[in-house]
Amino acid sequence: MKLIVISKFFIGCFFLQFLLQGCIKQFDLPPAYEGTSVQANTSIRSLYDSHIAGNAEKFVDGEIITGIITANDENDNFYKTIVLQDSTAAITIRLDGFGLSAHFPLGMRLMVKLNGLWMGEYGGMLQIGGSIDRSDPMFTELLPVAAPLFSKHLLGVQMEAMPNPIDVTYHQLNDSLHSRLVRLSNIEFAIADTAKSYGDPINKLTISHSLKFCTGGTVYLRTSGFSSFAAITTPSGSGAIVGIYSEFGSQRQLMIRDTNDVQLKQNRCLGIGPSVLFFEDFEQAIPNSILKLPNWNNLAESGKLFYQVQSHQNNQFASISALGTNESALISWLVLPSIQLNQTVGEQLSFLSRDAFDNGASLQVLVSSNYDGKGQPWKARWTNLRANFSKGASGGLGPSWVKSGNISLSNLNGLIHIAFRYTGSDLGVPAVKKNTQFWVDDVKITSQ
Amino acid sequence: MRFVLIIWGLINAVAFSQPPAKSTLFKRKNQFIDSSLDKEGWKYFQDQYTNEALIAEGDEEQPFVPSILQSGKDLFSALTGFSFSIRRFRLKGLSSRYSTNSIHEVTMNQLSDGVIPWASWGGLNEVTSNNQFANGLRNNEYQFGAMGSAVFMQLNASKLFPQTTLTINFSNRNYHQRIAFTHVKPINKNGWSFAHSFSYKMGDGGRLVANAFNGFAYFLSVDKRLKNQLWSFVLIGNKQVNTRTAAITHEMVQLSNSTLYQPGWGLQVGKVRNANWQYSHQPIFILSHEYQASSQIKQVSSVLFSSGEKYNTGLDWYNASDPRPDYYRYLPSFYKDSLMSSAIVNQLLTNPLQLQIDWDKMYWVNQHSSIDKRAKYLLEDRVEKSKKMTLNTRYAIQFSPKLHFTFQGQYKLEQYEYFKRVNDLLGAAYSINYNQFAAENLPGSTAIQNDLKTPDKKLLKGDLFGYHYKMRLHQWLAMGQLVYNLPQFDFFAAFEYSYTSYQREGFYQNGVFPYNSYGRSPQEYFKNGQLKLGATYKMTGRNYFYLHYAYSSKPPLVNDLYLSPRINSNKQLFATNEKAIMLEAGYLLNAPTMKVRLNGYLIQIRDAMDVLSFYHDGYRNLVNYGLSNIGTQLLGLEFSLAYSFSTNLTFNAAFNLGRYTYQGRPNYIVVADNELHALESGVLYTNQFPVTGTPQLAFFSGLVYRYNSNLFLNISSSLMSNQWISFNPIRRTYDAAQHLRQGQDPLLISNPTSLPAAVVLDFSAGYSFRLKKFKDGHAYYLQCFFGVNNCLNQSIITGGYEQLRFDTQGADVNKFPNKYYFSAGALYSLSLKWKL
Repeated sequence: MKLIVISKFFIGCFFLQFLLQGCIKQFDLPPAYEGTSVQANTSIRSLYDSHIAGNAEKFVDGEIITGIITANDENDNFYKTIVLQDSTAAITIRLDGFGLSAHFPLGMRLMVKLNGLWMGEYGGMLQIGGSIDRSDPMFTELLPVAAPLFSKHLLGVQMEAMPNPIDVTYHQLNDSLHSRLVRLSNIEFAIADTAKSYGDPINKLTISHSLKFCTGGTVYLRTSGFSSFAAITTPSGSGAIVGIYSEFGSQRQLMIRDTNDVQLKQNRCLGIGPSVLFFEDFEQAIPNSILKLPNWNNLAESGKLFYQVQSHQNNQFASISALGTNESALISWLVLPSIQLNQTVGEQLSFLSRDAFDNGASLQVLVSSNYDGKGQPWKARWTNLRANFSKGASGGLGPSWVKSGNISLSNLNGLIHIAFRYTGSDLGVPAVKKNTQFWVDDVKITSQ
Repeated sequence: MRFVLIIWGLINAVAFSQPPAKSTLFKRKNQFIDSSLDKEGWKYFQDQYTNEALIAEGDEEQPFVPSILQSGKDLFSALTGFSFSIRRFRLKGLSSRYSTNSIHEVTMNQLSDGVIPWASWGGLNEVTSNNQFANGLRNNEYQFGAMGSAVFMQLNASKLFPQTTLTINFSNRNYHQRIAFTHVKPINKNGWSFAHSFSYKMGDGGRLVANAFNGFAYFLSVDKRLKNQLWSFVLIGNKQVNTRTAAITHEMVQLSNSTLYQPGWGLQVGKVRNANWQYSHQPIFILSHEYQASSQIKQVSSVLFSSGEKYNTGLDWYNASDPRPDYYRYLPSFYKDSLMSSAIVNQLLTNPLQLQIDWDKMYWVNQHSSIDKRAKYLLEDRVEKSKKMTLNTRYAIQFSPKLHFTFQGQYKLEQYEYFKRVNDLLGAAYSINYNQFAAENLPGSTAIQNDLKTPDKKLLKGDLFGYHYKMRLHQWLAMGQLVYNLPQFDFFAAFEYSYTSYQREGFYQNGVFPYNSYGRSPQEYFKNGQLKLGATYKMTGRNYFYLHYAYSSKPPLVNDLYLSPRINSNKQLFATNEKAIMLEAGYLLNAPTMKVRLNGYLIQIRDAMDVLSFYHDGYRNLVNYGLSNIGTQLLGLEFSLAYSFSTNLTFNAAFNLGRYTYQGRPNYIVVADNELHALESGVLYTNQFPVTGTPQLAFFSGLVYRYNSNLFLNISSSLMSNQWISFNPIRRTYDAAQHLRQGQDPLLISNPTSLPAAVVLDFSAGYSFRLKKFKDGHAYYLQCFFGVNNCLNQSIITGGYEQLRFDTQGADVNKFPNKYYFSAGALYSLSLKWKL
């Protein structure tokens, strides 16, 4: 009798167990996303076209763009940012969220309903954001799109093939390539920037490395200290690199998504084709101080005026002006490190210059074969080189950097020195003062 | 003073107008629970809902002091247990470790957290109501007892009330239907008796959209009585799966326009799915033996085995956006720009589903964000697997009619294994056992490995990951008690000595802590003693005065000792035993028409420790606050009264006046699970802060009308006030005060947050029908109970906490605002019970 009761009880238990299991809902998989009926009504290029430089504009006309995502925060090199590219152009969209790569993977076709969003500039680059911070009226700031509004503005369509990067040379890099996925070939890290970590993972700092085209020209590779590959070191070879092209101020920059974008596996450029014997862009010098670089000589022959390092729009360069010295005759020398021309042929010198408040002071570029590199250069024999200098900007800063043109050094041999010599005065009535300001940047010597 | 005397006089006048009854103070409490519609009947009906809130909330964000409440036979508890539970009233303001519960004399409080695992026998109210209750320090015949209260459950088949009942309950709470069948056979001529009970509880939807509840509980008890021995076997268990609810901020209430908003669910292919579940199944098996060695000596021995698993299910994510819809960065308040924040308000109001989890999106991300479908989101089970064994023996020696001795010894062995388990990959193909955020802090190292022994382990459904360790806890104790009864006085004294040891054993070698995560840690030993003394003056058979004193020293709970046991065996710097002194004095009146108990108490606790853990999205990992040297003082007065105007009408009243404060300045240390070094340490400026999480003032009054012993009507009201929500220690530090802006009021960040007073009106009614009467006097009855709680349909904050994350730099308390639990609206319950 008792056994029957007990066994009934247990049988009851078992049935209820199954009942209980059955009641726990099983969820099925959602069906594949079927896309959206929303259609794009404008191109990314037309956003650039409608933008007025220096302004910030709100979208109010229901603009919709579409494109493929070419960069995101997958490896934390891009922060709160995705890059969208269509056949006409590409643009950076700033999104206020973490882990964006999960929702906006590379290769996804995305519709962006721009109505209510803003576009504005960041360091000269056009970006899309969520609003404008005008708390400092002198410096308005584009704010990222708030996370809760993603679903309002961003519509995923489907996964597609990544667009091929555009192959460009140094000279083809221009504003229309902003945020585009580009491939730079025949390029290598500057000697000083090889075998360095891409970013600073310890202090979480962004690091810029110079990428030199074998044919001359520098692009800066910027890598965040938060990126997952920040600790990896840069290769020493040459080859091709793919990345998102950007500009900050006047500096040309590239950002990679991961180290697969860097394919520098060939030998270094030297000896094959034109190569850079010497290059200085003053970016590593200490700004707003007297120019001091290893093996350079910054000397005053007459008066006490020295070349300075200055910075403008995030670009550094050498600068000199007699203004404020109150001296009658000023001669100042900036002598480059010695260059050996015996191993190369077809050497050429080039640099950029820019003048301001021109009233007659002069800047020359000279070459010497008998300067010893230590003493007073005015005691050595110098030859003037014909170069195209910026001049005539009497009312203020010259409109742009002026290229010197390629100055041939091929008739010279052995160890030579190249120097800039500034001559001016700052005494007497304004009419007789000669205190033009000169800037010099990107001094480069190449060989064939 | 005069007022008190007048009251006391009145009470006595009423008491003495009735014929004296014989002394009941030490009368053996009723062994049988008569579940007919007696005056206690409605309480059993309420019992099953008393711990409801605690069941639903789980322990995702632990309250500062976890609370547990129970009702029992003590007048105060019986009156207020249910009504006060809405505000998590704790007797005397004490934490759960100062209240004990035992089954067959085996203490059920866990060595790990001091908590009584109610869920292990939930849903079996028909049998578990058979218990005795010892309030405060009053001596009991089984154990040392506890400062708060001690409940002793007897589940022997031969001690349960013989019955055959079928019960069906309906309610709009977290479960909606319950069906229970209970059969207790009286002892037969061969000395055998049997009892069994099982119940099934279920709920789906209701007030909370995503609510789900499934519970199956079973009970079996077999007794065999030999001449002077009683062998008992008991099996009790409850398998339960239910959704958890979360506390919400006022902002969420405004955005969703409902206090019933819950962030834990969302739509998946149009169907509601909840992410936060809890499961528990920890069956208990007890074998016990009572032996009357002689007329003076009785021996009771029990052995308990229990093994089972409980887990909480929740979302985990890796390199993807936070899937919780109420994450602070998804809310308007996070954005300073007013245009943007109003655009967000607008977006959320027009798209209310954005305030819920987006399952479809998580599936899409898992299947599309990488070629090999590595999981970005998954559902994890945070599992606690336990194995327990306890031996208990007690000798009761009646040395003389006046002198009783009790000796008790108990050995407990508890092993808890903790790990995470993949519950559902949400459409992904696999996951990897990585700790991504450790990799961010220590880049390029092996820190990313959760387990260096099995690096880069691929995870599929059911695989363990994250952390995996075991806590081995032992305790033995010996207790002696002496009770001496004189005609006018009763005395007792009891002493307990205990020896406790803890040891952690890691099964993973963690990449951040390779040297102290794997294998067994050094053992921690704690030796402790407890002493209590008491005297009762029996003025008459109805008037009693008593005075009790206790000193107690307890080991720190293992959960308060190890700072982050998930990944290493680091402990708090100063491991101290928790010391407590208690003094209580009271008056008891036990007259036929009137029962009164007045009890004053003073409790001082020193050197307590605590560890609070929470997810910090700045560190993107669990951050732990280790507190030590916590002192509390609990001073209060309990009063309860039951007065019968006539045989039909009874008036009940009770109140608790408490002043519970923290004393002194505890030490704190902050460590993150993925950082090698402590982030912060110092002193908390919390002297004289109120003890949080329980109303310090609580009043109850009610009227019960009975007619013909088959009808009752019960109406009561409760007022609860002077309650504060659990506070965030980090806001009360020197560091926090340093970041205040010029002119900012420091009290703004340091003052504890109080809850508004709550007034609750409850109603219940019961009616009993006789269905059939047999010639032998036996009859079938149908009993109906109907109850409405919170008749005024108010939305009441039942509790809450300050978020443990704090914007120290900005000194902004509203960046991570307080979270509250809400109980909205009236709760109905209907119970039908057939007594066959």
